[in-house]
Amino acid sequence: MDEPWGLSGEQFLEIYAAAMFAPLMVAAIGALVIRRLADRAEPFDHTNLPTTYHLAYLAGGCARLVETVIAELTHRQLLRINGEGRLSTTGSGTDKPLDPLEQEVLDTVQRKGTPSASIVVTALADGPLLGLDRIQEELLRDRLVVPAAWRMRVRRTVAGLYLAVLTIGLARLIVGISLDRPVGSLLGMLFGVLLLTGGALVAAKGLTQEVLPTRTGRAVIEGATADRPRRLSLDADSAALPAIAAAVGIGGFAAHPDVDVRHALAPPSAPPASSGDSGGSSCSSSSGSSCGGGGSSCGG
Amino acid sequence: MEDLGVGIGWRSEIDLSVERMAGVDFVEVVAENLHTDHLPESLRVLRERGVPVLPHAVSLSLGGAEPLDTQRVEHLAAVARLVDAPLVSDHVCFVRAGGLDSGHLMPLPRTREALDVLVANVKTAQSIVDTPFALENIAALLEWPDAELTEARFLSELVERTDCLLLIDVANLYANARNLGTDPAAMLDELPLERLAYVHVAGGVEVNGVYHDTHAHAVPQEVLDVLGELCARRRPPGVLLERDDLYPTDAELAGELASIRDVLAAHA
Repeated sequence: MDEPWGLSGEQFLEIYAAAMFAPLMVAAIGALVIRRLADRAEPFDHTNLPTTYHLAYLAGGCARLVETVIAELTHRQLLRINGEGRLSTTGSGTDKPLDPLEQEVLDTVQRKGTPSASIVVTALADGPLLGLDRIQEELLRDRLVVPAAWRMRVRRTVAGLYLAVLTIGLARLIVGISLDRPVGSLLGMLFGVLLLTGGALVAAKGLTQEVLPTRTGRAVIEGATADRPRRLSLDADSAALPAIAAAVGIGGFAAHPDVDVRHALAPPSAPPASSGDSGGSSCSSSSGSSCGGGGSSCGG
Repeated sequence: MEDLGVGIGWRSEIDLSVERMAGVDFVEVVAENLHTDHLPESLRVLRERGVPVLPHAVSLSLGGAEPLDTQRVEHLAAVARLVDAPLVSDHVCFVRAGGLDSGHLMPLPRTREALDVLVANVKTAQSIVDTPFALENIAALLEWPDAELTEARFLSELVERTDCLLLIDVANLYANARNLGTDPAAMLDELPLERLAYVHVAGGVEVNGVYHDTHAHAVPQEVLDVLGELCARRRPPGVLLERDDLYPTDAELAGELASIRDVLAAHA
């Protein structure tokens, strides 16, 4: 009797069993190779980073980058934060934003009224950030991050292989059913392919993070972490204040050295019960004025 | 009246700034923006520091012809108790009539009849609120015809008949001078300044020839000049900077407070 594709069911299952594990092997080897490449250490001092925003992106990707821009703009009084963590632009002042990233954060705050810091982070971290390309290029140039293209190549290869294995298995299943052959084992193997796909994803998990620092990149983060201020008093020397952005760049809002601002940006636990005029019939979160209502003139 | 010093209007948008700003001797809160069972954290911190918190109402409509909404007065009284306020205040105006809310502080006709209504409502409010009551002059873009009293006489008789205090808004005096042609100095001469509780200072902007008391722009020098006129007659127990929108940097707010202090120092 002619066998479909010139292979008996038993022969096909043997070959298919081997093929099932091939993408998993590719994922594991790919992750290993990338890790090895990332572990090439080259001397680089964190103080040589062009800006604190480079450090922030290196340490925590886009979300951390936006957090750091917010901290920086708040420190420079281009943004104000209130006790509930809501941001607003100050509208005046002599210090102007320096780069497109800062302008984008200011525009977002203005567009959204008085958004919470977390809303601004969420809104910007998922979208294309102006100026991010330059940061990524410079981090790549200094070999502080693993090129995203490498990681993408491994992920695509693994995904393509599994798609091929599934397609072949399904095609054989259809042929088997049409020839009235037993397909129970093949069905079981197809189920196994799905499980292994999950396994491959786990194996490549290290490749899916937004930013993958190289060993040098990790050393840069560690160096900056050792240098960051843990806490600033309210009357801190102004010379120490630029370090605020570095602290947030490394540890996010929760690492802001100014306790009051930290609590506003990243409440320690549950939202404060006594945080004021939000909700309630007589209250408004965008506090009413002493004018008694709308209009261009107050009179009160 | 106890010496309050120099203060700023507490608003949730600038709560952290106000809490951390140096030289804030007292704050004023819009009473309608507070719950009666708990304080916002920064107000709690200020109270712990001993900073007086003065509730300022905007919705009592004390000059309105309709019966006083005592629930609003009770809310004000409860807020005053919550912050242990030395006094409370609202405006010489009406904000509701015929079931409509104007959203503005509307000027009263300066007639004997309107004064009688205002006095009756103020006395009712005083009977509910446990603390001294201060009433503020407003900025108006129009005046009702057939006035029987000047604004100063109207306020003076209000003070005489109710024993209330005065909250003089020098920015409103300036706005009325610009828009209605009144004379702030003459009005200050007539007012019973010995009943002064404190003073409001605020910024505004001119649009199409009309000065708008916006509380959203920088305080013009002319408003500080009116403050100086007042200080030349009597040193006010307190002066408060009002800012309700387009909040500038902390440094600019602190600068405006410093300007107020300079005026006070010049008349010490």
